[in-house]
Amino acid sequence: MRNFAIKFANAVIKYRALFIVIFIFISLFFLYVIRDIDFETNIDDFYPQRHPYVSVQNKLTGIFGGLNQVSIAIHVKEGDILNPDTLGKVIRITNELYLMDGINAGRITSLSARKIKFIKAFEEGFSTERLLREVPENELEMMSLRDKIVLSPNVYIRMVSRDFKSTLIQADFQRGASSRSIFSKLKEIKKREADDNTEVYIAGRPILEGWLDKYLPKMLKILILTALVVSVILYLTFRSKRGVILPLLDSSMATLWGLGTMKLLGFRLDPTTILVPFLILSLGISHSIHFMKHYYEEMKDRKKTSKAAVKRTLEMLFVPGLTAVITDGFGFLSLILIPLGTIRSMALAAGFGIFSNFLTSFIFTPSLVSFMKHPKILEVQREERHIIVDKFLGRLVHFSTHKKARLALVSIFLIVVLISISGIKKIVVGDNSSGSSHLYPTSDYNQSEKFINADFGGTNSCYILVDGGRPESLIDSKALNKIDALQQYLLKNVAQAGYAVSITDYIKGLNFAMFSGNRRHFIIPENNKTIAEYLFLYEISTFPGDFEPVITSDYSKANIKVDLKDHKSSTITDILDKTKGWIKSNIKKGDISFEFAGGDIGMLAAINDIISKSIAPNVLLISVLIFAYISFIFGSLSAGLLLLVPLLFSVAIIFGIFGLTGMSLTCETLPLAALSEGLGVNYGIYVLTRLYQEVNRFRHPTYKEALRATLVTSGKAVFFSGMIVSVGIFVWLFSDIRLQARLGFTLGLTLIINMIASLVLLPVLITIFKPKFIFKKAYFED
Amino acid sequence: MKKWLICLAVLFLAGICLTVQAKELEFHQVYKIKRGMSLDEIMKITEHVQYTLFAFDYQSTGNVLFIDKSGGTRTRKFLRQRIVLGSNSLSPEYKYKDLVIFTQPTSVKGLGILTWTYSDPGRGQDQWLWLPSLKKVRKISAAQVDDSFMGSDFTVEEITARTFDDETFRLLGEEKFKGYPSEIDNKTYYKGRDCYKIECRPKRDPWYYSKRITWVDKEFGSTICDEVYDPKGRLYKTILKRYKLMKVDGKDYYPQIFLEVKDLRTGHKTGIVMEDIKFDQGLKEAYFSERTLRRSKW
Repeated sequence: MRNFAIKFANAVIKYRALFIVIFIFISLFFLYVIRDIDFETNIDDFYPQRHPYVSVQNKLTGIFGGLNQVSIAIHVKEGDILNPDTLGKVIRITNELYLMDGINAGRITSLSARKIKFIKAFEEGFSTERLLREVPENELEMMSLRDKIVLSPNVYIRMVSRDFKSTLIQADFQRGASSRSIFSKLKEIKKREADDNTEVYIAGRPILEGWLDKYLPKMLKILILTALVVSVILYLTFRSKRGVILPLLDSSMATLWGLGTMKLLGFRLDPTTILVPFLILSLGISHSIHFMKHYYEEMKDRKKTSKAAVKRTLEMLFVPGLTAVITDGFGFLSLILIPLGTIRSMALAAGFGIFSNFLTSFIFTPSLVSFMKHPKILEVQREERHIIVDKFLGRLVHFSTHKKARLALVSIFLIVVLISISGIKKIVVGDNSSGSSHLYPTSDYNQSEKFINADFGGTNSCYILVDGGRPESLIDSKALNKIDALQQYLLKNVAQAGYAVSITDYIKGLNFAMFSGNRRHFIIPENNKTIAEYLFLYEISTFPGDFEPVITSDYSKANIKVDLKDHKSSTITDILDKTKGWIKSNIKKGDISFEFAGGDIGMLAAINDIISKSIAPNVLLISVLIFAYISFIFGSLSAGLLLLVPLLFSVAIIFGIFGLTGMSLTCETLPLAALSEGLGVNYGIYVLTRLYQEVNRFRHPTYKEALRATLVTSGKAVFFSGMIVSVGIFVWLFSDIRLQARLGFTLGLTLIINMIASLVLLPVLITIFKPKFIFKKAYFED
Repeated sequence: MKKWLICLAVLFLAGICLTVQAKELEFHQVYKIKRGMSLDEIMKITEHVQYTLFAFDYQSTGNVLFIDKSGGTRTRKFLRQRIVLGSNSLSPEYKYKDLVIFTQPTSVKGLGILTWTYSDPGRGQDQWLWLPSLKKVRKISAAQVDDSFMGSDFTVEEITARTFDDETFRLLGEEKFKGYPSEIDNKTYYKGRDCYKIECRPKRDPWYYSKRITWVDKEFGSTICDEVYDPKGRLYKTILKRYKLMKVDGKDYYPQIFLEVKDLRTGHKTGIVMEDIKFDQGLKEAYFSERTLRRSKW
């Protein structure tokens, strides 16, 4: 390996001019590639597409529509919605929705939607008419509308709130409709229709995607801010122009390459993938810091040329540099196991960026630096003058050399671990705040969802797919009674279930109308022919597709929708378990089949499932990878174990914090462990390599001196690069997207803990265990 | 003197025009479009032909095809009978009475709907529904004119309810029809036929369409193609109507034999094929009653 490092260093120096030109060309190419990189969040990428619940959901939206459902709630502050002004708004908005591009007209529901009809039964028959076509002209008509609403179970409380202060309009757009244009159109409607007495709330998947896309460009501003902050830290580290410009240049280059690759691979910037440039930038700078730091160290020798110093630096840092890049790579690689498209895209793009960064900071920057003049002597000295940091790092040596300090530190460490483990046991999976866990509860979107949820329920829906297996199989009294039985069972036995609807309600409703509105006839008729006739009547009284959200046109598939009052994981488990139990004891082979669970509840269940199933294996996988690789590189199993301790320590602390503070695990915690271990192990690698070199090559007389030398050189680089990486990640806290902020906070924190553990805990552990791979001979005198 | 004569001539011509405009077409009479007719006369004739008001009675089977965007097809079949009444008949208060019995899908065979349409345009239709499985006749409210016609892409008014008084007209010109490419049998129909191209705007506003451009065939005396525009002025629906000549008691009848509509927004299409068309069989008014529904042989 050492020979290879020397060859590599020679080659870089030999072809340095050529390398510079090639790198510039590649960068220009990628600059061209990313010229029109765009933001586009696809919520599908945030769900595990192969999870059975997600498959059911995809089936459901494929068959019945509803993928791009939007909700518009109109709320009046004074009075109620039954006034000409508000009803005018409802009619205007509804008419406008029918004319929007990509609209799924059959799924529009509102007081004035074409398929919302008032059925009135009388002695000789029944009448059906549009519930609301024109604004009622007088008080009498208004009263009559109120009565009709109260008498329509599919309208009252579903479309008009119990207190008549709000009304809901829902629409659905076809697959492939642009979320951005839906979002902008609905925002326009909201702006136009809101007034002193009227509040308008909009929610639904296209709106959520629209908001996310709206928040994303801010992240680019934060990226620039990050680069500025990082420059300041770089200046404090090196106190020289080249110390600021070179790391920034090479990591920006890598970031550009990473983004370019992302674009070439067809990924778009979404709330997760937009974090890629942050990761590459800060990790890139951290690698460069090690290079520059070592370069300045070499340059203390005034006779040395830049070229010689670069060569020497490359030789020394090739192994830890490559190792660090590879472990970063492992961190991203192991994310491939997480079945969310967006995290996989992020992992792939960041992985490529980090690889690019190895090239830029080990080929491009060295080539460039080798052409530079010897830095002014003042510069070299300034770089060395970090009195406070040096003092602090020097003090750290005491932890290792003083027995009492050592004991205290190890005890604290063990106590923290124990507390964390007790916290981990209390971890709750799944969020219960209204709306999307990707955004803050206070965000406009989540406030809208909260409002709509409070007045109409609905955003906590659980869908069950009913499949009769062959055309017309659901024109069957037995089959419909099964559907009804499950529906009624869930309503009765799931405490949080508030409302449920399926095709059976339509059949019962028509039977009720057919028998002059006699309550006794609110049942499913026994005669299948009657059922066929009822379905046919619905079919011939609606436009093609209007009845399809309820049952397919070949009458082979239908669905049951159950609205829950919340989406706590206990509620989700409750309905899923009861559904499963009911199916098991009531459905035999040859019956119609039920598949669950779609809707928001199914999606959340899938996410919760993935979170609880994949975090532990993920920690295990990345730990095994790192352990195996480090053991291989250092030729020692104890090296692998030693470096693993700080990593597991920080992971334990962070998940302990989750448990102790009652913060629930949501999907942003999925990449946390892999990233914190993959990126965090770098610190330990640089410290351990340097310590090895100090002990075995520079032959310090005592361990204490070797350790001090390690800490003030590589330790210092670790400290600054750790700061930079964490700063680059902590800035995500400024994002309007909670997903990013929470990942930023937790990942930044674990990396800081990692860095501290590598500087404090690692040397102590080495002192205690005196691993043979470092200390070939007896070396300790204390 | 000369002036006086001119004035008289103008008044005389205006008088003719007024009487022509006021003149309602008589039921059970065949009218043909002739050169020099006013636009209103032409439009009245189209209505006359569309609703077979020229005949005494009418019967046909209808074969309905529903074709969704991906090509999935469903079929429905019905038998339709009509008696045309009106001022020449013993029941002048009725314009016509219709009986529709569904024969397919077999699961609903025999389901029937009886409709009475009144001469007074202000009076809504009366409708009765026969459900064979329950052996019940129920009086039902007639579908609203902008509702779907029998679950198809047509609206009720496009097939059974639109009258001369519902729209204003503007003649865009006389031209040879460009041809309608049917998506149901992939043939192009009526290319090069002599037509009036007319713009029709609904009097109701807001309404589900803002205008339609219609091509009235000079021989058939009725619309062969409609292009329907949404309230934003975008074309959203195209309609083809085909006719054939039938000689009945020496008179030329042009019944519709095929209707096709495509909704450009949903990609959904409906086709209705009329077969076994029979005219003037001497159907009695009493036949169009609840009792017939009840006695339905299905």
